[in-house]
Amino acid sequence: MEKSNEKHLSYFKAENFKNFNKIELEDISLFNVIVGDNNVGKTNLLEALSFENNDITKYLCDLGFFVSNRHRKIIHFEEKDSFNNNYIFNYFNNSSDDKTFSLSYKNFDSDNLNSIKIQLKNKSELNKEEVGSIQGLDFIDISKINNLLAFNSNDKKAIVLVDFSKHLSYPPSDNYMPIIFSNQIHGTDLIEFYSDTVSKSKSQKLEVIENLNLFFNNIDNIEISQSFENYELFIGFKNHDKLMPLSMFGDGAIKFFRILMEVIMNKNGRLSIDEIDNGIHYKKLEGFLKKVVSTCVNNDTQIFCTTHSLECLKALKLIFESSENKKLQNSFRCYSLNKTKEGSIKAYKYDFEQFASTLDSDADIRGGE
Amino acid sequence: MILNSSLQLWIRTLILEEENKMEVKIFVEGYCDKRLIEDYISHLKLQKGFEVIYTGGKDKIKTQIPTIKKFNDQEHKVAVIFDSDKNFKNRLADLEKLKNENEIIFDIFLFPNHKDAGTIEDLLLNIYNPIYQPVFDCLDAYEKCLTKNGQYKVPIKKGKIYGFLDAVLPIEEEDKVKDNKREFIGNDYWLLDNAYLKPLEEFLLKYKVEL
Repeated sequence: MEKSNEKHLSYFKAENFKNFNKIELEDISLFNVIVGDNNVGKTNLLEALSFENNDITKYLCDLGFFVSNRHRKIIHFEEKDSFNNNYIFNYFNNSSDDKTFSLSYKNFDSDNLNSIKIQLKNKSELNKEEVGSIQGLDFIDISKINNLLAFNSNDKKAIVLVDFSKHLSYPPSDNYMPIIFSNQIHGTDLIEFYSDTVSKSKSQKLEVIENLNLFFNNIDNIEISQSFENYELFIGFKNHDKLMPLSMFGDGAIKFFRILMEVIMNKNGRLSIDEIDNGIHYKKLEGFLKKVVSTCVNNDTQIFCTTHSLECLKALKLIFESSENKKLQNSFRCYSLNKTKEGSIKAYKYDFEQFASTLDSDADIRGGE
Repeated sequence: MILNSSLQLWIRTLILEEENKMEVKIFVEGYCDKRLIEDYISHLKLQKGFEVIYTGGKDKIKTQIPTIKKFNDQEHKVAVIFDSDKNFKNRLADLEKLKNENEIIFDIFLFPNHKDAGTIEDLLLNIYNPIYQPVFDCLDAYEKCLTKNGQYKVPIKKGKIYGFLDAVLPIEEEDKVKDNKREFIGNDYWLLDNAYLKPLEEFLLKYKVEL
């Protein structure tokens, strides 16, 4: 499928990023599935892919949140610690002394190769111009800082001092990141997502209600209402007068709700979903994925998702083979992450025909030892 | 000195372990091919490190290109064992072209004997146990009858293999007539020491040296 969206990626490369020396995704499409063994770096790749084309400072803050999320708690980045014992060290490949990582990408609408280079610099290494650029930032005591982040995005250069105080809420509602982690299910952010998007369009609300029927039998309404002192999302059902709070439903149902909301929120953009099938009953899997795929197509949201499950891959094969979705087969890619003999990680691209045929054969597309 | 030799032994063990990670990945067309190659590998006592991968047909090998690239990068040995079909040279050239165009590496063996046109059924029709010749005489007569009639597709090589197994398998084992359940060892239907298998044996034995 030809795309002309500036946020959609057609090519992506991360270098010296976490466990990757270099990883490349070529010929990316709308719906991209990433598979591979444990510890091969699937979630790392999603983190790399979640960069904001036009806001690198925000992305660097997001990386801090990713660390928090992995620790399942908020890490308070004290000014001094944040730069001396820097969280960002996590994001440079350990096997390299070079404290630089870079992301390169192409968009659907252009053949230009864009690049972002993030460099950890010691203050003593800064040139005059760079020293000048950090003067006047009074929220941080520069005398206590040894290391700084410098970024270089195409021709734009900057020294970044990340103000973490803005990004300590969980989830960071004022700092939306287009990634859904596997442990992210219910949250107050869902209210915001709902009120910002679906609640403003009657047709979209009806479409979401229809989709949600897969998990919420006979649903006929979604409302934001007050519960105790807080606002919460409530679900209404046909022939039932009482509304039920979303939070009382199962994780799979709430996860489905979240994914639909975030796909719609990222209309014409891109969204990463870690372990997309996690928590979904196998009998619901095909229906769940079918609705996720159709919502992505309707909203032109580019998806990068990971899975370990063969059932999930088989369900995707059936969905894209169905007569209604056959025309979308070119919108599907699968990337299998595998270790090479030298120990580096490489992504092997499967178009739909290769993916379907490999699933039908004895070859294991998911890798692993 | 003792420490030194222990260290050397440990390093040698590590190297051997690393070498043992190398595997041979063999792509075949169908389930019958997979069963034959698996049993023949077992017959040659080569089991360790081999994986036989069913692709679903000769046209499906191109869909395995990413998987072959992955195996190449992992330095596993890759082999493709397919049918020659109507023309040995053409099939060989097609596979060589696929290798060159996609920068992938694999060894090739074409049934029946990496020399003649034909299929796995031609190979099987050369290695059945002659004590069952009466069954094949009947099947030959059946084929002649079809030829004489003129309206039907001949030869019926697949039908002969199926008909033979259907006739000789005991009732409690009749499921083994199916492609994916066929057994080529542990019975007297097939002679895996037959000279006709020599080219295939030589092809597979080279991996024994490398493993």
